[in-house]
Amino acid sequence: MADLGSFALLAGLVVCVYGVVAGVIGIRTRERRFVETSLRAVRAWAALMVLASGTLMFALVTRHFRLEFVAAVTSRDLPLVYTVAAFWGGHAGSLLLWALILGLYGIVILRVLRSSPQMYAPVALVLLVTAGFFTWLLAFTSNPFTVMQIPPPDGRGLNPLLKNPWMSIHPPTLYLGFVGMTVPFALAVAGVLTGLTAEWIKLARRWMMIAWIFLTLGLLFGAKWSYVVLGWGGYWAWDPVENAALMPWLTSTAFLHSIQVQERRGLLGAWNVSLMIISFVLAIFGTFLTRSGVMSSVHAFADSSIGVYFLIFLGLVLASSGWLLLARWDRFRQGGSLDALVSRESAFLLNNLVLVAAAFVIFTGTVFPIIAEAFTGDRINVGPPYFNQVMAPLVILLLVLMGTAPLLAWRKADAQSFGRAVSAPAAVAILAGLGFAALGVRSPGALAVLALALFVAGAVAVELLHGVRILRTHGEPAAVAVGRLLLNNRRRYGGYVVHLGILLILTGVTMSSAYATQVQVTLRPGEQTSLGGYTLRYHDAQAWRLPGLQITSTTVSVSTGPRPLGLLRPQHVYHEVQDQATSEIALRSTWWNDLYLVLVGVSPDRRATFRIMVNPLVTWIWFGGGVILTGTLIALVPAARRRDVPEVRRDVAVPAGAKAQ
Amino acid sequence: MTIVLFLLSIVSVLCAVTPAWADQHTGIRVGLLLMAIDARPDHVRISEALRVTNAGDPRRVSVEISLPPRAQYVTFHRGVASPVQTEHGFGGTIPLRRGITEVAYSYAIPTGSREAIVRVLPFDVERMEVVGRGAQVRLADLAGRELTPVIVGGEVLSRWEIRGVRAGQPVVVELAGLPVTSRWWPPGAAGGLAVILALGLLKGVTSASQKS
Repeated sequence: MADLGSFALLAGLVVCVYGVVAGVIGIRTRERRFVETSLRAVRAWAALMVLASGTLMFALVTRHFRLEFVAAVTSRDLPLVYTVAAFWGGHAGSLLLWALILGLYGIVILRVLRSSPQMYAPVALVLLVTAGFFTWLLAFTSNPFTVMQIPPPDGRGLNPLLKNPWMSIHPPTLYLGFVGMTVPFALAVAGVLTGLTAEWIKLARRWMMIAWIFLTLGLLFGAKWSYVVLGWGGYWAWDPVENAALMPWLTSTAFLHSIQVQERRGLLGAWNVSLMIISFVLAIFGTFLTRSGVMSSVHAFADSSIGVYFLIFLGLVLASSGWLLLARWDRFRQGGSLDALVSRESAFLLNNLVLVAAAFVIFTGTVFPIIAEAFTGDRINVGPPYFNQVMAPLVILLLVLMGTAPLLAWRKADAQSFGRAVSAPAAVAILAGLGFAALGVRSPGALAVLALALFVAGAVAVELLHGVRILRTHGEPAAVAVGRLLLNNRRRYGGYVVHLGILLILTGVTMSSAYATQVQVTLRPGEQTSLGGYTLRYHDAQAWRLPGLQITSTTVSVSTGPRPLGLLRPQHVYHEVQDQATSEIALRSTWWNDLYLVLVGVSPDRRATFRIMVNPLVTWIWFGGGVILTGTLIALVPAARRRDVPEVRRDVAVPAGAKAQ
Repeated sequence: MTIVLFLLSIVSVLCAVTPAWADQHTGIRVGLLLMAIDARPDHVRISEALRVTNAGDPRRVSVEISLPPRAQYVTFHRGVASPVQTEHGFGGTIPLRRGITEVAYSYAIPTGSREAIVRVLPFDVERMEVVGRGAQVRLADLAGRELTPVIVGGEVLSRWEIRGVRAGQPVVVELAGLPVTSRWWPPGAAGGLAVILALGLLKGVTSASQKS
């Protein structure tokens, strides 16, 4: 089994080198058969990664403890679902997952590119170079098929913190996002070499959106895992690994906006290519941070010495991409320029600058400890206060842009029509702000976010009504008009749905950050305490043992006023094999708040210490993720264009409500 | 004189090995030590079972059993309470009831294709039997003799026995024909693939340049 896996990795490396050489020859000589050979190399490499992954999965499921990796991450009593998740529970396995996902992406993108054969060769070349790097790491530095001379009778088992359903899906989803950035990067290289055609724009946008949605979901799944497993009551700590995933998310979000400017106006070509390159580099940087152990993180479960190889690879990617971009700079000079300072493309450009600035400040704060240590010898961590202070104004600016940009016309916005369109959402936002203030919201940041969220929602509603009104001039009933509008402008309205999801998340984050309450209390059996309208009565504690586990569980009844809400059972679990204690939190979620209960400890006289938190609107964050997914799926489905339905657009300055151009 | 000193040194060594056992264990005898050797790729897993007979009242006796130097993954199956790792093996307490008590533990040793395992026990053993699976087993000790092989599940297991093993007396178990994993084929096959692909590419480049 180990031999089969090792062979797959070594053969994969051979195939990569072969494919790269064939691809370079194909590009230089323009001989089609060499290009075809490099395409076959991508498919063969993908097949070998499937073989290696299948072998490792089989070894995990059959508890083949001769493999060091299997012995390190599984044990005989590990349930099947976590045995499967153990694949990415260790360093070598997660790198193999990277390679597997890249292989699958490679097969799909090359199939899609059948209609654009001129992009074949460069895309295959980039995929193979990236594949070669990861296969080399797998074969020579992080081989999951390394055998032990004597297999242990049982494995060490999966890290207890990873035994959670969210952790079963968080890493693969995040990796689908990280690895997915390779495809836009490959398309960027292909675009620079062959030209940024309309077909290229369509492909680049679509593939970036695929990577983006997986990255979004990966971030949210990670936040959810952090919330329900780590027992600190939060979901985002500006942890280096969290930041590492957020940075490419920000740059890819910027790209998804600026590509529209290129599509509509033929502008920002070089900027878009740069964003694709930066997003890929940041994705590799994220993998480096997670896998190298260079930064301590609650999300990093691997520590290895491969960091230097990642840095070399990153350097090569940056240098070669930069050189390529400069060498072909003439291609990007053909674009026009902004017609007016106030237009949708200007708003998108500003939005891009804010998003890239956000990525930059996060990057600075994330790598600062490494740089400080290199120069001073001391590690100085930049904590959440830095990120919160710097990000808050950027988020508010983004919300303003999110609300105003859809109301601005392309090329040049007419002040009068814009004023008319923006007045209703602005009035809603001002009234809402006053209303929230009257209800007791005192935090200026929270007030601003809540009011602006309603402003953005109002702007989306204005846009929708504007479209419906135009369609109704063609005699459509209102309900049919809404349906046809959504069906025939899926990208636009899918995007608005995504915006609504972002608003839900920002509202949840703002309220849970500003108005979370918590208390730590020690109670005797029968005693009760209250927080945030909840009354909690501690009944009793029980302790028992399971193989390898010492469990202490408490029973707490929850009520609000006279109404009983049920029992919560927070637990404290000691994992003997790993010599590690974990808190199994008890959570009661509603749309308005979460009651979050952590058992800190139980004394011999059965007095229990609890940390109790009431976190408002956290459910909105998870629900917002679902809304974003829905919006992205709507935007990804190709629109079925019909000639008899006019497309609603603000291509030119038209007053809201006027007939579409 | 030299011979006397040599014999005295052996006696002192034996006394040093067995004092605890000798002092505590009147009425206790080890009737059988069964040593089952399971040859696996690159290592053997050895299970040892002791049949201890206690003629006196139930009691708990301390014991320290040395294991071969490279023994790993020691697992206790029966009869040893609170085992702890010691410099040469493990120590623990054996709760003995009146009559027969069985003690069983196992361990693994990394091996090549041949191996000699030396066992030195801190107590007298009336009969020691060695059973081998997947390899040729023989006892190097002259007093050892081969028994009729036993067939388990269609597999022939070789057996050897030695009687009257004294405390501290080394018993050498020789193993041959042990399975060893060869690690050459993955790089070999990948290397072969590299050669084939390189030749194909070379041929393609040559024919392309000839065409042009």
